Amino acid sequence: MRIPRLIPELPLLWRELTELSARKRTYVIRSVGAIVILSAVLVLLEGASSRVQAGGMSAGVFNVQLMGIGSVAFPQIVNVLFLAVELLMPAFTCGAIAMEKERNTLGTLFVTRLSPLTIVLEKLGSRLVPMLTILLLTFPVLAFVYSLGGVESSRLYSAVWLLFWESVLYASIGLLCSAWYSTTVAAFVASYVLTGFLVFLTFLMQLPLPTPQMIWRAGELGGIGPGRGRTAFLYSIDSSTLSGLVYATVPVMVAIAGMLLLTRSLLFRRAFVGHSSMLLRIFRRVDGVFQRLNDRAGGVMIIPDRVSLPGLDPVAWREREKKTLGKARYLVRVLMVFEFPVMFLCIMFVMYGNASNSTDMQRVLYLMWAITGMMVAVKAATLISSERTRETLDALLSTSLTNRELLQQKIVGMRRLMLVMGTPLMSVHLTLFLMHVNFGGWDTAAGLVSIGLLLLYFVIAMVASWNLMHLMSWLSLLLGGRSRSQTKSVLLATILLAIWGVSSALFLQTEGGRYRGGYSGYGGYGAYDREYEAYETVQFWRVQKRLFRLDGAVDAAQQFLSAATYGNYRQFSIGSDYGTDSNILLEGLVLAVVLGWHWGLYRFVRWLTLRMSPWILERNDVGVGTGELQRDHTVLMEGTS
Amino acid sequence: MSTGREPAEPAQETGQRTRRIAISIRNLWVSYGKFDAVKGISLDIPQGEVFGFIGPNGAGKSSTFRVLATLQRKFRGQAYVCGLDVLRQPQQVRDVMGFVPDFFGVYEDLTSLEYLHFFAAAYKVPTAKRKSVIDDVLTLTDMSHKAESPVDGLSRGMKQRLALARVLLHDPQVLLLDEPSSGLDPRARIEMRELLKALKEMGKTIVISSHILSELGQLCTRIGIVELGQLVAEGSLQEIYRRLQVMRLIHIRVENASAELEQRVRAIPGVAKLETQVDRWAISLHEDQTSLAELHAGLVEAGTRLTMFQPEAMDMETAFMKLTEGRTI
Repeated sequence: MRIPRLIPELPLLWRELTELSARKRTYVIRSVGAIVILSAVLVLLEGASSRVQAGGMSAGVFNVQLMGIGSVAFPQIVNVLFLAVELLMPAFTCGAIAMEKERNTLGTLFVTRLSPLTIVLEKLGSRLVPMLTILLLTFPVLAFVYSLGGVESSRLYSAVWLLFWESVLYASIGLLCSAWYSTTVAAFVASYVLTGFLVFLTFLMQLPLPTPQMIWRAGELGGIGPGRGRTAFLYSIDSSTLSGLVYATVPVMVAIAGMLLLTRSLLFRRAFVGHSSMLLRIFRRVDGVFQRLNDRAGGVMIIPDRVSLPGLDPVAWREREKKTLGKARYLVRVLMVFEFPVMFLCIMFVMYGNASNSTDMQRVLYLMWAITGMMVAVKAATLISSERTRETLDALLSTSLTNRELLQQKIVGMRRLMLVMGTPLMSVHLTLFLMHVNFGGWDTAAGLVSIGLLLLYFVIAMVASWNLMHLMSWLSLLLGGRSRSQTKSVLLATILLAIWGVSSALFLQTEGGRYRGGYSGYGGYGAYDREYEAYETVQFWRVQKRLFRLDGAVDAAQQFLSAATYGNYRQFSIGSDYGTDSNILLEGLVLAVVLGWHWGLYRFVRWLTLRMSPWILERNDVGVGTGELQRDHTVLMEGTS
Repeated sequence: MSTGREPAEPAQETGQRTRRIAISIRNLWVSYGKFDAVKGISLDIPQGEVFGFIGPNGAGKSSTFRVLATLQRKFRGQAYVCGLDVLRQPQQVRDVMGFVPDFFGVYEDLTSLEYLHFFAAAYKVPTAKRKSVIDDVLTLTDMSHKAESPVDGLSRGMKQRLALARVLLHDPQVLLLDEPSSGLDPRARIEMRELLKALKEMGKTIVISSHILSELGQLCTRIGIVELGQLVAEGSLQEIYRRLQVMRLIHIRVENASAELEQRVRAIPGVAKLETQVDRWAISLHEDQTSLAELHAGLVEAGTRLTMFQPEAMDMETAFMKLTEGRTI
């Protein structure tokens, strides 16, 4: 008698896992992911224990005070794991279906007996395994922290449960994008945009969306935290019991089921979509609509198509005039897409916020930086690999263009995009400037100085932003230029930039541990209220921090804003040592050092990229040899007919 | 070496026909990791020649092309194009060479005219001369009527012609064409062949690789056959045929076949092998020792009553099959 199989045969899952195990990339991502997570965990653990140890007993001896430290370290570690899921899961899932489309293998899956839902579920399983493996690596640390005491068992179980559903949630989002888009790169960008949007809505804007992370935070804060009114549902949940936890995650499960069903229906419909840019298709449709409107109404075309031919910079010309993210007309639309919401938010914050609390503006600024960073990194990383995948690179490399000219022209072609992405950033900076400036005081010397300093902040913010965008573009070109596939180059560039950005923000935000409480962010007025260290020492630490941070110059500009406006808000000053004019000079000096360092960093990365251009383009360039004609090989050949 | 052509440059010193060497390769080795794709190829291609590069897939043709096109960073040996060292003077080599790779994409966002302007700028053709140069190559490649068409919408044959137009923009002395007829329909192939003939008439040195051997036979003045990274034969078509015809295969049908007659045929001078097949005998003949006419006379003399005497025709396919053993990688 045949015994029915308890576990059904899962050929696609088996194939996916076999493929993943054969890829070097899997192990690299897994190792890097584990190293970053474990490092973050260890830093947090060390920070928590040093804070406790600072209470009295000598280091090296087991400290009884360490007992119960789990209550401090555990929530922080779990938060890092949630962040890791948000950062890694989209990268893991975006290629699940899109890659099948790129390789033209999706059709062969359809002719098998696998149902669409089975395909979706097996794909989901195959991408969950690597993420859960990474999370599993951190469980011994969680167990250790748990053993230190102070963590209730229910918190441990709920952390495991919620991390699992967090992984499934973001995997479903990635899978949905993968089913919709024809290329992995497009799916990658869309996955991160959606993930970022969800994080922005829940984590930053405190909207009551019951994502696993928010359920965790609600349980952690126990109804005392900020935004309680807005997240009444979350705080009404008793996540300490199993039934309460399951009840809390029901909306997430429903959302996941909905997304998976949508993915299933899209699997067929979007299986054979063209590889042409979706953005381009949308823009062409919009063009058609405008054209029809113009034909009827006899309207005026604001930005007419300009027929131009390349001059001396053909590569830059093509990037500038012919690419979707290069054409002026299309870029204006991209600008509108970002600028209108940013302007709306800025006006809202100006109307309903107050100048002394610009935290919301900082959030908008950093959200825009995340989007800008991703767009610049994706574009720059694929500048060469897109030529490779479209088989146009060999033709280009056999021309008279040198490697340096080629790479330089590629980056120059991106400037319009940088300008467009920089405009909303400038709007935020301008709003911050307008929020803080007091034009009423122009008739006094102090008022004029204050206005001048704020104007200086605005100029420096522009320079720092421009510099950072160039740094990211050259770095992405260096990281992704050599790759043979666009997916690989995008993953490489964005993951490394994200690791730099996030890890430096996490690890180097350590002055919080030096103060009585946590450092509240970039607003910084409260920072002067600290008592442990002298102002100069703190500044030295901040300079060090910003030298290694990806956004160090932008951060320094924000700090300069705080110092420059401090004079306008002296009522916030507590210690007489702080808030003097010399602080502005010191902040200015810090800013000059950091800005100079980051400019130097950009120039170094640019120089390194150009220096490594033969390696990136896999072609030798001028100056390799002597430049002399090899006379031996132009010998006349004798005919002996 | 006789090529039967006028020299591309005036002869010097001797009264013999002389020509410059356009391409010279000495002991070329190309390796990818531990795998050697090209193993010690050496050859000289005189100026004005159409050289056919033949070989099975993975034989090392494209790797050799990539070296000559300055797209291979690491290799051993020497390679010169018009006397310029590929490794030491890549930029100068690019100025005298045009390369059409085996797989090539086109920029879908450009029209044919924009595409050519793009590459004219990339080849650093002076701005003032660009229009006339582009008009000339469009006329030469018969693409003038497609100048404003988007490149993406062109047929494969048209794209190949456009690619050829692209590499003519800077008036190179040497053209490297890797499988230019691949995937073309018969009409497009004939048109491509005519275009290459026109370029040959213009005195360009053309190195061409193809699997369509009959075409190479009509076009090439010399061929090189590559297998497993080695040049197994090189020379004019006649030279290669002559070399391969040493063992000509002749099919005969005999009305009075018997074991004794078979023995007598085997004894004819020059007969290396006789294989008895179902309806015929296959004779391998050393043609340098015994001509076909002498074999025929010998067979008659031996008492065979012949109903068929069929020497196997020698063509490029035969030569290719004889010289290569199908050991593709």
